[in-house]
Amino acid sequence: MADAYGASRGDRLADEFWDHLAAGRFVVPRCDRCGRHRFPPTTFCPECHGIDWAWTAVSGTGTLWSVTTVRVPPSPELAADVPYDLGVVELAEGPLVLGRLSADNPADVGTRPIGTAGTRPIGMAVALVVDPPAATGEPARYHFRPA
Amino acid sequence: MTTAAAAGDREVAIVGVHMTPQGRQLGRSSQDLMAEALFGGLADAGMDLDEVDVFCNVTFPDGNGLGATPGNMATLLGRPLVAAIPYSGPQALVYAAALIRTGQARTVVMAHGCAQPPPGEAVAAYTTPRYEFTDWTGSFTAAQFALQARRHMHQYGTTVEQLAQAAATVRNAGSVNPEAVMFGRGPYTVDDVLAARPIADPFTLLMCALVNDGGSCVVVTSADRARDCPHRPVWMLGGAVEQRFSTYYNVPTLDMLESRPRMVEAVRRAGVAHDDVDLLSVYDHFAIGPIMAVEAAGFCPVGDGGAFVADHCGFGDGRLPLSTHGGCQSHSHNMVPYNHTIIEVVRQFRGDVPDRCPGWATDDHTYDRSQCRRVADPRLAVVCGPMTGVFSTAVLGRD
Repeated sequence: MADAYGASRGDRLADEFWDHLAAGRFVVPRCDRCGRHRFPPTTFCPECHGIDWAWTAVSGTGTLWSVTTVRVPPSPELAADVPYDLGVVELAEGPLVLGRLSADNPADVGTRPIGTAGTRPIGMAVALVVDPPAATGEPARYHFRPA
Repeated sequence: MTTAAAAGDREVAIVGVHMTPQGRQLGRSSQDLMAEALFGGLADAGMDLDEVDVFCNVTFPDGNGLGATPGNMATLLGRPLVAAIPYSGPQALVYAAALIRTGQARTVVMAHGCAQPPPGEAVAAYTTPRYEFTDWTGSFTAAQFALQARRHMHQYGTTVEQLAQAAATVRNAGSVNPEAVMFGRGPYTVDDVLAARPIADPFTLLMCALVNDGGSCVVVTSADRARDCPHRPVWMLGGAVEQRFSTYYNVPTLDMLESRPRMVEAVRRAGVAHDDVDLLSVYDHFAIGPIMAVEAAGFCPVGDGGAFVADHCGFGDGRLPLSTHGGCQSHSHNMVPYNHTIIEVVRQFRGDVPDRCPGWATDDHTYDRSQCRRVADPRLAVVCGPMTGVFSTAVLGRD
């Protein structure tokens, strides 16, 4: 079952992730046996197949693995957001996470020629930012900013 | 190509194909398009529905919701099936061949129909699957594969001009195909593609697939049954599937390229050398599709796909024509156009290739590429797809 924002309720793993996020912590399962961090949350380790694990807060530092500037809104409610930068970030702990990249200067987003690295080159250092739940009812979210 | 392995592998044949009209808002239901494709394919094979043991079809969770799901097929057909397999195109062909080779089935149909919902959303509904770790970020299909393309550019030096060339190559074949949704549009240069409306960097509109309605069908059967069919059999010589992450739900990566050893081995076991392949037909949802496909299928080293498609995927001696129907970017993307790669190969083998040549109906072609998309005397082909978390390759040949 998904709420209006796509976050599910009723799946223990996902619910715990979003509850931690609402408390300001971006956590991922860390394997008790081999120490691998994994995201999205799963019940056993894709590395060693160990079934014991614990929620572990990540450092929040990472590097930009890939980036795109979205110019066409995928849905009407995002029409006011374009253009926006979307990135894949490799966290220091290993997992890849998809998220928006905040703009230091929003006017810069979408101005670079298509296909060029621009001011957000792959490999740049970024930091994960937790966005707390909003009074309007929006759940906690996260994004990345240049570090 | 005629190694013992290939000769011994002539056990499974494609004997019927059908393509319904493809177009935007055809005003028909998904089931209606599927039925036209199904009965058209069976008629082409000289068969009727009573012979069908297995039905293959992909239905996305949203859209196409008019009942043609694998779980409903026995009800729709009014008869039991050996299996209803939720796949299409080269992937389904690999599974169909396995069932036929082991005697569990004799005839398999792969029939698809899709009518998109009326326009209103900014992008097609199926390109924005709801998933709690992706959709709220503003990600959607074009962005997911743009992230893949950007990483490919960074890691391997692929250029935006090479992406544009891949799009232009496929679109220019489609521009002379009267059955293509984009018939008459083009030809396009690299600069034309780069100057089109930006969608998600590095993709412009002309590097993205269409969204349209249509149906398709491929009929597969045993060699024994194929001998009694009206058309010369097209042999399914071999192939492989590798399931990987779902690019729709997970973070996009380049891991599909790691399926290369399995694909190379499948081509080798089919008794075929890559250099002997006359035609390549791939699922090109975005311009990065053909580039990653030639790498994963083993036509060039990983990382060289941009240059390979730009330098080798045209027409002429020693070249490897690519998706000569116009692919998903010019011919049709009816949500699940995976069968189209196979149908194009069958029609090129048969000499049934509509284009702007006055004599195409009698297979009299000019080979003037401003009006012709005929491949001269093709005998071996490779089909690949999809690129969405699973990659598959099938090798097709004719006598």
